Amino acid sequence: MSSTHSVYAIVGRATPLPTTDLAMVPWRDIAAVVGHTSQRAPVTVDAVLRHEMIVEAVRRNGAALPVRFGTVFDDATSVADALAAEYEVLAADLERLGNTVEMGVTALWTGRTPDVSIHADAERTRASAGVRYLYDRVAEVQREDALDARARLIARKLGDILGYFAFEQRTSILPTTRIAVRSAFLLYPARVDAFRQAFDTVRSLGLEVRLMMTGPWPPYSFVSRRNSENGTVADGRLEELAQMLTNRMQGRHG
Amino acid sequence: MNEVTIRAQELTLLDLLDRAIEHGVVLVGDITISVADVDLIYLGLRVLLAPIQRLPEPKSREVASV
Repeated sequence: MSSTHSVYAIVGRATPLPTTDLAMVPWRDIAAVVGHTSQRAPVTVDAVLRHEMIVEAVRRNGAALPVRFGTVFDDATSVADALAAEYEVLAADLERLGNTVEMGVTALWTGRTPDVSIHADAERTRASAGVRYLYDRVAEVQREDALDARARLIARKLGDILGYFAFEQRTSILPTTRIAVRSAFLLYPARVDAFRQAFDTVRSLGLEVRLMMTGPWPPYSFVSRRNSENGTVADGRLEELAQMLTNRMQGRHG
Repeated sequence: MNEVTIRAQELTLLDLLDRAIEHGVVLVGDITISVADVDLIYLGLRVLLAPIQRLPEPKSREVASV
């Protein structure tokens, strides 16, 4: 089977590589760090972990942008073409993010999603089936709004304290029914310890959620997103993969 | 979907998978990875989940939780 080029990171072209198993494909003053594989890497947890280990090893040698898992090219020329096509954005992101890390903070509802009580309208019980349906829909929307408000309040408290140590933040409100808030904070490595201490402060607030912190990670969540993302591995197949795995897990636990 | 308890270690791995698969620099490559024969991976904090008991622990990754 022919060799392929898996891309792990974008670096300055003078950045030393951590191992001879990797190579650089340069374009102007930047370069892609690539690894040669004899076949397409299978999509496994181990493969993703290996990708992350390489990204982190590269970043120990200098500023680097993490490349999305599964970025594979036929040859070095194709890699260079891709760099050329995205050069301006990549160079700017490398300058902005190359020496930063991100910390992840997730707020999970304790137990099941909290039951938000909505005052029941006494007239509902006397209404026709159709009207009762509308009452129920209104109550559902009210519950969703109330839950959203509670999640946003938690996000605001997180941002008020943890945001001080970060210069950028990405937050998702209610990304799943179990999760109230999911945030990524972009910061310099020197502030990680202070961030962790601040996280302990947030925990002491006694919020109605279970708080979890992970990191530091390469700044995956903060690289510029471009139109060219359409049609790539994850974008094209992720939903399909998610559904397949979800179905499998439901079968296992159901 | 059934409730699945999320432990700190699991969340760390899910966090990584979510980042490495959904985020990061995107270059349009020649090849897209096939997921048809996928051996099992996640799915993120959106959809959860994978056979967690099989997952190795990421190295030197700190987790704090309450």
